[in-house]
Order: sequence, then structure tokens, then C-alpha cells
Amino acid sequence: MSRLRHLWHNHRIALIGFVLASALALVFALRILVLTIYWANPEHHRQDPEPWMTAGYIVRSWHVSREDLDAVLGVERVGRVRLIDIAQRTGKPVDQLIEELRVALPQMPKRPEKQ
Amino acid sequence: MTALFDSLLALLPVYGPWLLALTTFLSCLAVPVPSSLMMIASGAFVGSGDLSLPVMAGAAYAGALSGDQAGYALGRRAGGLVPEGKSKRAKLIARAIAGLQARGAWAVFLTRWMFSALGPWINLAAGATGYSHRQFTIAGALGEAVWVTTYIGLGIVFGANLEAAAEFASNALGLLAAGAVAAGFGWWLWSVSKPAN
Repeated sequence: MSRLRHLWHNHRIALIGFVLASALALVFALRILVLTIYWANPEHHRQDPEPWMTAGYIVRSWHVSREDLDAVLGVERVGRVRLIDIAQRTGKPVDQLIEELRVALPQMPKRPEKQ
Repeated sequence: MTALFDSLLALLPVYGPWLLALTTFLSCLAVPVPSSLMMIASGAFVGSGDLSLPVMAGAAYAGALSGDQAGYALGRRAGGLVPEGKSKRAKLIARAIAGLQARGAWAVFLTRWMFSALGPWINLAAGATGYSHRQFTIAGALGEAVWVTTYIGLGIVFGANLEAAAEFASNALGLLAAGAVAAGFGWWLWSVSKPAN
């Protein structure tokens, strides 16, 4: 205790800095913990479809099968394609494609988790 | 996420390695590009099977290493501008140079990934003050390896949701930085509190 009092009288700024930085570190650590628990649930992975996403990205984010997704997108399985490419290929506006996905994705059967 | 970042994201699956190498190169020269986020996104596209891990990691690493070397070379050219003599400013700069010479390897290593905002300035300073090129290259190469591995790895692991990965990364960096400051203060307090007893 006397050591703490000595520090408070002679090195107040450093002591305050130490306490503040430690508190901040604790806040960040807690947020990481909360985020980790939240994202550990596959249900929470699902990210709203956006034009830059590839079919592969959506398959991973929504835990659905590539075949089910391709059926909604109206394309045969092709390699690295983004939603903007698929919109161009099928002649649909990309916003319409995204709307269709927003409706269809939550209803698709979940792909079984890889062990 | 911003519209600019969204358009960069859209280009990533198409121009993957080139775009990533350019981004990491520019970020080492203090150009404000979202290089950490681009590496996380690359990791996400590796995880989704759209991009290849060795190609993307190699591109990010090559871009970062050449960016560091370019910054160092620029600093060396500007080295003649460092004031010399007995003025107060020259003395301060001389002290900074001495500090860099003594602890330079750690400064170079840590500013590659933990305090990456300072990285470009350390590159220039190292070149301008004639810091050993060999040490700069070794410490820089190790630091960039940590940077590239961490961020691309984060993208692969948390790649199912990029927003989540980005949030995780900013919190992890915050923790590291706050932890480093706390450790610094703690060490100092510990050392000054000893003579009191």
C-alpha cells in the first residue's frame, strides 16, 4: 500500500496512464470474447448478399450447398463468379438478384457441417 | 463498410494477387489504402475457394517487402536534408537517430504489424538516418511475415463474415496496443517504485 501511495504522490500521471491503458485492454479483451462466442454460432455467420460476393462466399457465409445456390442464381456451376457477373450473364439487374437471394437463402436447407 | 471498399472487394476476386500486392506496396509508402482489410478479404476468398493461399500470401508479402525497400530508398535519398551541427534541433535528431540505432530492429519489427500506422515513417527514418540496411531488411521481413500471416489467417478463419473478421481484427489490435502501453507504464512504475523501499 505504501508503495502505491508513493507512486500516487510522485508518479501520478504514469499511474493513471497504467490504470487507463489496463482498463482499455480489458474492454478490448471482453469485446473479443463476446465476438468469439457470437460468431461461433453458424447462424450468425450469414451476411446479407452484396454485389461483390462470389457464389463461393455466399455458400460459406450461409452454410448452403452450391447446387441449391446455383439453382436460385440460374447458372450452371462455374468457377469464380461474383453476383455482378451473374447478373450480367442472366440479364437481370443486380439489385433484383440480391432481392431474390434475400428471400431464398433463409429457406435453403443447411449444408451439413464438415467434421 | 464504405463504397470505396466495396468496389475494391468486387475487384479482388478478379485481380486478386495484383491488387493485393499493389495495396500492400502502397500502404508501406503511407498511401491510405485499406491494406489490412484487403488481406482479411483475401483470406475470406481463399476460404471460399475463389483464390489460392500461396499466391495471395506471396503477393501480399512481395508487395509489402518491396514497399518497405522503396520507403527505405526514398529516405536514404532524402538523408541529406537531416540537419547536422550543434543546434538544438540537430541534437534532438541525433538523439532520435541514436535511439533508432540502439532499438531499431524492434521498432522496425513491431511497426510492420502491431503499430502499422507508423511503419511507413520508420521506413523513411531508417533510410534517412543511415540505419543498417541488412538489419532493416531482416527485421522488416520478419515483421511483414507476421502481418501477412495474421491478417490472411484471420480472413480464412473468420471468412464466413467479413464484417465480423474486420471487427475482430480492430479489437485485437486495440488489445495489443492498449496492452503494450499498459506494460510500458507498468514496467516504468515498477522500476521507479523499487528505490522507495
